[in-house]
Amino acid sequence: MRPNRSSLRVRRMLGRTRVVRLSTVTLLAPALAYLGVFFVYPIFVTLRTSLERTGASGYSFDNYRAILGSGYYWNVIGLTLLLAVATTLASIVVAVPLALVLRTHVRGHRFVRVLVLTPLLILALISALGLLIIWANTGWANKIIASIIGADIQVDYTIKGLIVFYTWLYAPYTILTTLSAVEAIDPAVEEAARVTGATPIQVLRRVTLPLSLRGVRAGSILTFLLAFEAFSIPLIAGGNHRPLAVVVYTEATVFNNFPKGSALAIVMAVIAVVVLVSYQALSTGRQRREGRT
Amino acid sequence: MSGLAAASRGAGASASSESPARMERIAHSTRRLLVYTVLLAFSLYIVGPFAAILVNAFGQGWFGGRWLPETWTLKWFRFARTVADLPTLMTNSLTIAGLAIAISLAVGIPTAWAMAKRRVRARALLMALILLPRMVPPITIALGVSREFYGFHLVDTHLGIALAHSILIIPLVVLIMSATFEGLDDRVLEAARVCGARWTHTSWYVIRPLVMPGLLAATLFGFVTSLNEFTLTLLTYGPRTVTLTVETYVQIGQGFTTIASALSAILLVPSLILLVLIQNHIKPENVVGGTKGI
Repeated sequence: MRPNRSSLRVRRMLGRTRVVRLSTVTLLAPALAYLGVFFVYPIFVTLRTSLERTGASGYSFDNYRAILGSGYYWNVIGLTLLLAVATTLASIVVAVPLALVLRTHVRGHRFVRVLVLTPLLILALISALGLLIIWANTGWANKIIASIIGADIQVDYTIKGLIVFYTWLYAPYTILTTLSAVEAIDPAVEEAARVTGATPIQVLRRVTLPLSLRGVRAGSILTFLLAFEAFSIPLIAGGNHRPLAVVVYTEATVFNNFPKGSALAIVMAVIAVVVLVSYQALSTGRQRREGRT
Repeated sequence: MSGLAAASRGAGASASSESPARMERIAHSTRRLLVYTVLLAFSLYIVGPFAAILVNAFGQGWFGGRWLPETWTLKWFRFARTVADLPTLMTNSLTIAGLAIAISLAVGIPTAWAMAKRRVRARALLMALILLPRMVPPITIALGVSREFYGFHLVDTHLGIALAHSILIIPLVVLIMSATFEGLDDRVLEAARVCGARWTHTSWYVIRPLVMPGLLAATLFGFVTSLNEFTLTLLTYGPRTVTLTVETYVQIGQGFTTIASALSAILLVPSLILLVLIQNHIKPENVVGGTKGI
């Protein structure tokens, strides 16, 4: 919010510019200093470490060459991306029907809205433990599934299981943004479609879903990034399936190879930032196109 | 409003369709059935793990495909208190969370004020920069932080871990507090000034009560973030600073899922309190970008 005209006039009378600008900088200084010392510098340290050579002095790109030249690490990157994409899709499948249902304010919708938030506020480690217990081969989920389809599915310590767990944990972001987009739709628009003879399915496909897409998109990028960066869930529930964050951690602490772990961490950060930036560029481009038409 | 919309929709459908009222009623109850199936399935999906943890924490002999344990017990909580030294874990977690909140509010609030009330050049870019720590993988930051902290002798100190947690809490504080400050009416502040209030008086008697909900939200979110933070803690903790989170991980790693469940049951409490508070006071959509799990 801009200061209104009268306050500007007061400031001008007081000979404002110098004083105001100086104090704005002062206000921003602590956070920027903090960011520099505890965020930018650590990243720089990770970057520098990644260029160190194990058992030799000087810097080189050896670690990166080793990572990008090895099938193992490409598989790890592939697994991480696969998990992130699958989780994003699964979250959309959960989010859209749920948002459409919650929009109608049926009895009990408030309770379900609270439930949507729970995974965000609870330690991922606890969730992972609970999910492992409930999805165990003889756990509740499999007992229920077995009573419905006659056979239990094994998910603990499998890729399938990781997708189920990730979706549990990260779908709320997609659900919340989808819900706010769906609730922002003017009922009159759908009403107009209906009055002019559209069937309920057509209204859904041609009006409601396109209008909620913006919310789906906003949440999916968060879900994707979080699934891409997931650490504690695969650490205890991944079994032999180790995505990037876990490999970085084991490389650095278990094998005590900080340089290689750091190089991998940098690769990971670069992928995350590239995905985020290209998503931003794509969505602003799309908005501009939509604005023109 | 949407109730009205639903009512008008119902009216529209019955007017346009020529099928008898009975068909209409069947369609209606089918829709209700579908709606409640979706809600129930989702609720079970979300609540299941927590119920499982609670049953596991209070139960004994829960295996071999039984629906519920053979007997109920408080044994695992006693184990947690003695074996895992619960009081120390609590003290560590709470001290770190308190320090992290204090640091984050002190650093974040002035910036939030500037973002909301001052003309800041390249404001969008600055905001993106402030939020960046929540976008970069935590493990990438944590590796560098642990190396940096070894140099500063900050590893295995409460202050060090609090400083590390603040990296993730400050963006949250700036996000929530700048939204709160933007909601402050400039005319109210002007009025206070015109009436001769000093800046200190204005901020304490006028601004503080008005921004209290936002301040509370930022504090609570920060608190839970610190309590639940895993990656950064794992790479900066030491024998003197084991937190509830780290101990839960250690117990799971050693296969003691019952003790881990007891610890988790304790960790659930503050999160659930926060959940209730949020639902009553804050619009969750507004803080989605800031509430990132671990």
